[in-house]
Amino acid sequence: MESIIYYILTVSLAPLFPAVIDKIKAVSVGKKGPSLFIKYYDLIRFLKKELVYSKSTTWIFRFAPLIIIITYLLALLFFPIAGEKPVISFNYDFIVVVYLFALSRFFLLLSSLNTASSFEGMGASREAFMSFLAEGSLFMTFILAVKLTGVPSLMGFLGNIGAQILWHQAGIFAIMSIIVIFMILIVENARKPIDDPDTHLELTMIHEVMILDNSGPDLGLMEFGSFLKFLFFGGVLSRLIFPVDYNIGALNYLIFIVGLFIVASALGLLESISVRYKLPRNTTFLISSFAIATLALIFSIGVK
Amino acid sequence: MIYNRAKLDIKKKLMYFLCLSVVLIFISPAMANSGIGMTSGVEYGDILPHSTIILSMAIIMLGGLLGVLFSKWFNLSRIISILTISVGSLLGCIYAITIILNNKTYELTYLMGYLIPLSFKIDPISMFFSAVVLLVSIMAAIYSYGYMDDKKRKLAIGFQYLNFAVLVASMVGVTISNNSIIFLLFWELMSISSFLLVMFDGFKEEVKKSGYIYLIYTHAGGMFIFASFALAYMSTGSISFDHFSSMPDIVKMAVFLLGFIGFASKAGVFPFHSWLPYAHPVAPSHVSAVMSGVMIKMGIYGIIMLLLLLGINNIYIGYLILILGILSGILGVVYALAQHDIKRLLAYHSVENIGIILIGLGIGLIGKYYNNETIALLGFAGALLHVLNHALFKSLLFMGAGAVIKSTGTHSLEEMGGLMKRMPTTSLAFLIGSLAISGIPPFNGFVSELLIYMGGFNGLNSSIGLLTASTFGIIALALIGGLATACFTKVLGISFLGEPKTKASANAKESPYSMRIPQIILALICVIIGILPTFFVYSITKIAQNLNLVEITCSQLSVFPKLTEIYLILIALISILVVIRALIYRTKTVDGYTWDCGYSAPTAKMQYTASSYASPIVEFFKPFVIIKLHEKPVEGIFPSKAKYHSESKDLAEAVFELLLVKPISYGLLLLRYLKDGNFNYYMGYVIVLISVLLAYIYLIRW
Repeated sequence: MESIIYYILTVSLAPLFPAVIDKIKAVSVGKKGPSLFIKYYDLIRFLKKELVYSKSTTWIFRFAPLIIIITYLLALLFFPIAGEKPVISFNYDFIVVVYLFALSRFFLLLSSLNTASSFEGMGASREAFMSFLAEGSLFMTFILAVKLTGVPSLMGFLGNIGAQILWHQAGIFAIMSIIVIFMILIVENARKPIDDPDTHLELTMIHEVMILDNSGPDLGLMEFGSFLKFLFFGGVLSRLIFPVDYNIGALNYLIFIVGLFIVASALGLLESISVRYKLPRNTTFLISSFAIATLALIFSIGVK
Repeated sequence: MIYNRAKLDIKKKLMYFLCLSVVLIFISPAMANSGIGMTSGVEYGDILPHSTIILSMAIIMLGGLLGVLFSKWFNLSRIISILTISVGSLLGCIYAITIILNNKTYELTYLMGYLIPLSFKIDPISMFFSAVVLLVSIMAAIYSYGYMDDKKRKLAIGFQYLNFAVLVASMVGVTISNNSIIFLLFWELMSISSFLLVMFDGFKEEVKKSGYIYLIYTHAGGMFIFASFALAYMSTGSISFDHFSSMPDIVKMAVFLLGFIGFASKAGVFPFHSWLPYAHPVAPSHVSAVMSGVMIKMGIYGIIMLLLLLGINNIYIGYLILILGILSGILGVVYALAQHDIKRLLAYHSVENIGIILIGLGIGLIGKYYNNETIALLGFAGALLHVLNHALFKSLLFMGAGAVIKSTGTHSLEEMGGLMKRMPTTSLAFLIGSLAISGIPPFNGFVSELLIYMGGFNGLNSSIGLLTASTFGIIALALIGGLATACFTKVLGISFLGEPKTKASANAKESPYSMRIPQIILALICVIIGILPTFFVYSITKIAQNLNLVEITCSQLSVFPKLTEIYLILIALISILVVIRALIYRTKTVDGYTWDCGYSAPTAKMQYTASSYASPIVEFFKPFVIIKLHEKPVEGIFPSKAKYHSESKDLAEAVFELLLVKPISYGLLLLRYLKDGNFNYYMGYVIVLISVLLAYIYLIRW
């Protein structure tokens, strides 16, 4: 029951964190920035609008936003929020979660190619390229986590005991995993320095360009899907940074949310001080995340 | 003239009948004298007699013959032939499934006392492969009714059904034969009939070339298998497979490696795969579906059979299979990404999926070596289930590709587009096939990949050898999954979605029912295995246990019932959302145009192309893909016509060409001196050769 309450609470907080990133970016350049609830207003605005469908599109374009939002909602059901037992948990659930992400990506790519627009084809091509590399790093981290904790489930390595195990051995594995997951989070959520969410030129976009033709509630659903995706990866980081286990559930939850705020602020800071990479550099970024994850796995060979 | 031709036809048919009856006269006494040699296993509960599978092969062959005999009446011959082949296949399929479920083993031996006994062995693993073969064959046969509709080529189509029937029957024969001679007989029948099927359009230069490449490959591979079995015969003195385990270890290794090369070349494992992208695109689509879906699995069956017969438990063999699997898997999909021809692309995906099967086998073998039976069970079960899954979705995809090619008249992805609006059913089936092949839930590809993943994740804590193998296997699977997603979004996005790029694709029509129904059925099976995996996984693990590969039951399989729950939640939520959106926004939907950046008259040609879509990934794998560019860039203020054309070549092919084909053809050039076309000389050569051989025997040996 507690896990369901946490789930509902966390999902409803999801639009808060991207706003935190925007706020920090604005503050760092001396602006006041939008309200923290801006994304809620956005979502409501989107839901009130009409739906515009290009004549080139088919049912896939209409279906894709629904499948994207549902897969992310479903994926979060597996997540041990604040270290509590998640709503659904079984062995090897993380493989299912990663492949649910793949399902949503498949439909995202298809819906963007459905519009017959060259811009969106370009974005889809980049997304397909980067996501397969990111998946490799993600699985490398999972291998490390399963090897160290011995429990092959998200609950196993992000639950109370698992996350602490990663901090043993001088914390090296936790730190390396945090770095890798942070890099994956940047890629998956299309943030700087991989992709610039504020860019205004279609040719340079990756994620934004893929949803160029979605409108109204569909766009809202897709946006909400990306908030949930941030929640997932940010949540993993939060659990890795603060693998706390107090007896009071509310306190654990509070720390979890604080962790999420910290991740969002770190992203905001990074976005304010960094520039976007040239596209070929993205490969280097992704391969480095893979290399770090591999290194961590090699370090872990001797660990019992 | 017409009268003459009709007479000729009848003459041909009579000749055929004569040949057939001669064969039957020779075979029938043997059939009459024979009896079932040995039976083991429990007798009760047998619904069908043990020789049902042979009966089913005979019915399938009969179907082929009827197709030829009635070929004058075009529709009738096709209907009779397809019906008979389907009935035979269905019978065999049902029998195979009862054997698998009842978990029995029989041996049938005809001509027991003769030099070469016709011995067959029916066990769950061979019946599993037979069932896959027969299931796909039924669908391909039905599909061919719509696909083979060229009335001008009645006789060719009739013979095509004969070849098809021989191919199906010989594949079943390969799986059940229990001595090397019979095995090779069926193996060669399979190779030759499939070669003849590939050559269906043999009057085209391109087809002829591809057909010969296939013929050379399959026979070179066949020679390795001959060598392997000959070596086994020398060592054991028996042609029966039952004696294979009594060889010394070093011979076992040699037998396995030789056989492995042969079987790998049939299966399309990485360095030996070059025939696939030639043979599959030119064959008729239902043939490609059978060849790619099940015929290459005979190579996998051969490898598994050798592993079982020889009782190999060797870590290096495990690593060999794993590494070749990883190479085939990743490079197969990379080469697929570089293709423009839809059927070539699918052919390369066969290489990829064979890679996944080998990764499963490799992880299983390595787990077995380290006495970790859970890993062995999961690895083998994953590999076997992927055999079934790949057969289903690959034949589905080839059928879809065939329908698209028939409808648009082009093989090129760049010339299609917008087909989803014009061919909705075919496209939906193709979409399901694509999701399944990319290993995406809730479809069947995910189930087998999950099994292999589970095997891999079990091997992280025992020893460094196992850790390395598991890590490589898992990462390779993850990369393959991502790349396959990229590749199939390319196919679907560029050719099925968007706007039509040519007139032919704008005028594409949905294919006839006979072509659509098999696709729908295959797609449904993909979904059923995907959503309700439990039954299939348990049956497969039973087979894996029967192989004596592993003996334990595995508690980790409890994941699969939970998958069903997740999928049901997923489907329920999506349908709720679909209904909600339809209700709320029914009146608030507007038609518009795609955002074109303010440019008001885009043409369909300005869409993103398949090669551009795949280019970042192909560039990333540059060392392995040889890209040739033919470019005439835009120049000057008033540019004339510009051109850009890219081609990709795969590494194995280039290396083979350099190291094998060129030296051999150079050597043969020297031999050409001897072959000047004068028949007298040839007779002379024969006489000289025979004299030399006789002289050798009489003078030196005695």
